[in-house]
Amino acid sequence: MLDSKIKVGIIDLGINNIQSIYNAYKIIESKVNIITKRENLLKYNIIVLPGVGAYKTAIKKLSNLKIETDIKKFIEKSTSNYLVGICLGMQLLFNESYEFGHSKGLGFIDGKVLPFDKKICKVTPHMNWNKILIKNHNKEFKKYSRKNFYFVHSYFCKPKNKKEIIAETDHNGHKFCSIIKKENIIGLQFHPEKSSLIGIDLLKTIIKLV
Amino acid sequence: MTSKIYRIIPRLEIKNGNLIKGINLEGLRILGSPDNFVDNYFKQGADEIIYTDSVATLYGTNNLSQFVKNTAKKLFIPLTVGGGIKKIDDIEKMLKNGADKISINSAGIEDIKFIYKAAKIFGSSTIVSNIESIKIKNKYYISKSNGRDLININPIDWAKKLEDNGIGEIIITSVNNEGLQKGLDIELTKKVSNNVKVPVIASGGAGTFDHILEVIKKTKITGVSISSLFHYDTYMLYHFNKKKIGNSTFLEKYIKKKSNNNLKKLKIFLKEKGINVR
Repeated sequence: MLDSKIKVGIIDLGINNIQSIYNAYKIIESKVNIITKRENLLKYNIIVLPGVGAYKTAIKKLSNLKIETDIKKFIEKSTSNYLVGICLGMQLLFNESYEFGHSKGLGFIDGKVLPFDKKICKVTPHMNWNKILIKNHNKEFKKYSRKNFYFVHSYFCKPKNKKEIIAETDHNGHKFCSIIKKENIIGLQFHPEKSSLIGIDLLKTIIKLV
Repeated sequence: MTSKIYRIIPRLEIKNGNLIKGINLEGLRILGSPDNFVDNYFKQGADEIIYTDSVATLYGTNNLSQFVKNTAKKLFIPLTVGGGIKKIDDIEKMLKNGADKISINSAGIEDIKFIYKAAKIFGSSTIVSNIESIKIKNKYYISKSNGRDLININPIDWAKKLEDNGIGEIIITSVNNEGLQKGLDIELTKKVSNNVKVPVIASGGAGTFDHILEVIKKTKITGVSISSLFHYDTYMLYHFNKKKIGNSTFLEKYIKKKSNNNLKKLKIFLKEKGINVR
């Protein structure tokens, strides 16, 4: 599909900075909209679930928007509809998180969200540029292997199905999943919108998957 | 295990819409519009940008909002904003305008609970503290209002307290060394970075590439914040022999000796020395 025709919808949970992700999509000439209330999601090609902030609050805001079933319909409708979770948005895709107790996630991907073990990790939160290592089986993201992206997080995703892991990153000897892909659902633990030009390029690559 | 990446972070002090540069956080000189500087740093591979409103605490206002908004449109690296942040609303406003991290100093000294509250609401990784340390007769103090009010607290104790209250990152500035370009305070930076788990950014005094290498090698920091060293080079790039902005005659004389030290060259230098930079 031609890039210029791609429609991107960014879900605004009202708890985070979505301006940067909006600006990033804006410069790659996609048609981008911010979703602040329940609306027809089927007109979009890509739905972005961004996120900085607390897990519980984000899940609560999602259910307040009554948008969970609409997202589910969006991904089930067509395999070329893509759902992209960024940072906390990636973590929300999983079954459950142990951030400040326990909370249930969206459950689109099997697995848990866990805190970094402070005994292993000398520095937390993981707030820095870091390399991603693309798994051998993946071709779409291969060119980003060993490239640096910007991370800000204290929790990481532990997927049940290892085959869904596209990239891993090493933080203080602690390896975690930095890109996940389950059919048309993609999760990015780093912030492509804050990762300089290579991050923008990665967003373009996802657009090309549509 | 991969070695960590050291972040190189240009720091821009803004006053009434102009980029300024002081010595010991005082004696301010206008260098021009911050836009050109930020553009240049982004192109040269800056890992992050810090904006501070140098007079915000004094006048109780923060006029950085508009700048933050304009900058965020074209800056695809993290942006930290500080100066005069006093209320939860101030933080929310800055984040909405496109800031990624908020730096708090004075308001945290006045009430440490403010740091705790901010970290709880916006997440630790969003809340950064800038410790402005002053050394008098071999004793270290912290200060507020951009180095104007001295507080009888040791910066190491203060760093620990900030960490206990949820701060996500600490920028340790030596007010004594700031703007002099004679090197960073290694002793101070070492002590602070040894005593906390959160990332520590060294600031104040970088005048040569060797100064930066020294602080990276001798302390446990994860980044260096730099202003004079890069600003003067960028100033030459944009303003020299062009229209006169700021106190140009004085600056040109001063800068001629200092320029030709840009961010790109610094990263090449550090890589050659075996330091992991992006």
